[in-house]
Amino acid sequence: MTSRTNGPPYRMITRIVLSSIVLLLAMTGAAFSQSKRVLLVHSVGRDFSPWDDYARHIREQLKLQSKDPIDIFEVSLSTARFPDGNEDAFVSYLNAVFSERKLDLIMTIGGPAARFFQQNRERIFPAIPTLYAALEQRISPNAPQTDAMVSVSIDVVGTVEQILKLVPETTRVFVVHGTSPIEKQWLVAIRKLLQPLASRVEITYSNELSLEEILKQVAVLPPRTVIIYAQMLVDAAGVVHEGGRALERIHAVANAPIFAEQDTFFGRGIVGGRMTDITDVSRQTAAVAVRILGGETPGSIKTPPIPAASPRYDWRELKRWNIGESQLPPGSQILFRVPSVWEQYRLEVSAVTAAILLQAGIIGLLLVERRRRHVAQAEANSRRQEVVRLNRVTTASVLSSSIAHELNQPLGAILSNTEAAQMLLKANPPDVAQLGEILSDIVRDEQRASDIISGLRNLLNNRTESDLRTFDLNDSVRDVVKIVSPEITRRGVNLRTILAPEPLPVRCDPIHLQQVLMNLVMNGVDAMEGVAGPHNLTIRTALADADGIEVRVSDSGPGIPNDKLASVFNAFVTTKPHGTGLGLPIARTILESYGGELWAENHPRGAVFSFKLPLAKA
Amino acid sequence: MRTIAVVDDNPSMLQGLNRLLSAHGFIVRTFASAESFLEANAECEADCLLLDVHLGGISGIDLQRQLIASGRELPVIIMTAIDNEVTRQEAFDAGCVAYLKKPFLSKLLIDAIGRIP
Repeated sequence: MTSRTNGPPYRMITRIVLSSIVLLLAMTGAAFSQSKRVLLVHSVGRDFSPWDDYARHIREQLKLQSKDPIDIFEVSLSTARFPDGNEDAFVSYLNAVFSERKLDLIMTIGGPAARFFQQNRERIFPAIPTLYAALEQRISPNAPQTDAMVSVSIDVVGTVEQILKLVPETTRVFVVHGTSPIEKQWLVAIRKLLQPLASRVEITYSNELSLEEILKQVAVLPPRTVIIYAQMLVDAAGVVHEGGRALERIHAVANAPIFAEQDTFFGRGIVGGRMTDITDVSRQTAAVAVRILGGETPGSIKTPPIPAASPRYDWRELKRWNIGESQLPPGSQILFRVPSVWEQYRLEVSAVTAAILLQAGIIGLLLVERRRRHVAQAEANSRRQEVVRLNRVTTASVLSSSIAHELNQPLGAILSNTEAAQMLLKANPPDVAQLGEILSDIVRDEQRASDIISGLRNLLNNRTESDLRTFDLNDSVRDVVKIVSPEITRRGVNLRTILAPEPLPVRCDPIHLQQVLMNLVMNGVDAMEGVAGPHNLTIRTALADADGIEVRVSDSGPGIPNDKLASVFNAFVTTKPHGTGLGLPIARTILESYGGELWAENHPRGAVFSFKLPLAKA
Repeated sequence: MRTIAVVDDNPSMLQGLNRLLSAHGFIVRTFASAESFLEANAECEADCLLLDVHLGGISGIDLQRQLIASGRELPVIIMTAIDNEVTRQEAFDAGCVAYLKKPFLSKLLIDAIGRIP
């Protein structure tokens, strides 16, 4: 029962597991059978320029160009750093590690590794194809039939010639060079190659200096010197320099332009020129490797030495050393150009410029508008001043009888008293006590006349500028009442003021407001002249609403004839026999100039002139 | 000795005229208003009335008219601090013997009084 119920699922699971194992084995077998094993043998180490660049590009290109999977192993011929490196040990090491594994290709990177393999070819996998890469043709060994080679051609003399064309004033060349065996070997070649140029420029070599000493020298090189950064693997002090760090340090302190033959240093401080294009050389090297891996005989693949590429220059270095672009050889390519602000931020600059132009336009319009407003304000001020002048004249006219009365009274008293004193002085003996009283009275009357003149001076002052200020309108009413009450009393009018208990701040010229009030009050007094019955004049101030105050001047006169109610504010319209017809229109104009309004109405016992003014904001 | 009544609502003026006329040897009676003058019946004993036009209550011109209306023949010298054609005309119409504008020299006043018969 149990076997019947569990049988089919059990058999199915077993079948799936077995099928999976078979499939996995098949796949693994396929992978192993197709994978190509390549051994990269570095000279000196993995991270020494320019070979590190070669190795990196070759790895990438191999994987890119090969149809088969590439399994890369890498070893470094560290012994190449030292003149007495024990190569036997390295041979043993390679055999120990790789004899049991089938290698499809050995690639050496750089001259030392190539030389090592050729010298020990019989002892290291003699049957395995070997490709010598990243080496200069002059120092490369001849390849046997089983081996292939992709070399580069470095034109040392051409490089210096280029430099002399680019920087014609050059008199000295300082060559940065290391002291490892391969560098020494290369230095011998360079010295020999550059010998013909010795008559044109003085050439010095740094191979006997440590990097620290080199740094000191390049900082204080004589004028018209250029630096050629040849190679710096190991300096004279035996210090190993990986990557491009040595160049970077030299570049940081050098007082002369630096040139190099390998484009691995391009962009890291050298000016540029015709340089070996490591990317291209690596691509060609990988192509040869793929052909060998595909079954071609290495000895049958012949590639000519690859020359330096078209000249390339670092724009930043050209600028730094003031080398004009017109001096560069034809076909030169300039890289690392720092774009101008315009090139880099074309859109932003355009937008900002547009915004600035727009703003400038708006500002211009605003300025024009402001100018117009100023002109309009000047005109308005001019008109207001004219109105104010007329108002002053009108006020003076209204007050003329009052002025005469108020001044002539004390003057009359002074004159009478003075003449009386003169008479008293003729007596023998004069009445000194009475003379004293007379003089006191004269002083008092003089003071009174002076007070009257002071009060009127403010009111009738011929000012050209408005004195705009915020003040309590109730104070204005009090001042006006003080000025006009003698005249009002003299004319038998009862003046009553009902002032708002709270302050009524308004913003205008207080004299203008006093003149308006004076005008309205004297208007009311005049209206009651010759009218029977009690003569009452009331000035009432109050808050009209949240934004304004209201002043009402009411009299108990005959009121304004209905046909003149509408025109009473027109110029030269008057209900008085001796009126100018200017007082009310002027008062209205002044109030309107401060944002107020003035109107007239009749009430059962006389006329009411009311005006509103905006409440001054705190 | 002549008696001069003076009516002026300005105390200082009133006092000054009192002193001046007294110094010239006149008997002077002063009144601050037309009403007080009438109340005192001063017109009966005065030989001349020196009268201001603008008074608090009854004006000088009105008082002058009232005196004429009541048949009194009191010579009136009008004085005013506000000189204008209307006032001048009204004063002479009401029969004043002289019209003086304040401030005036005492000579004008004494001469005017002297011309009164």
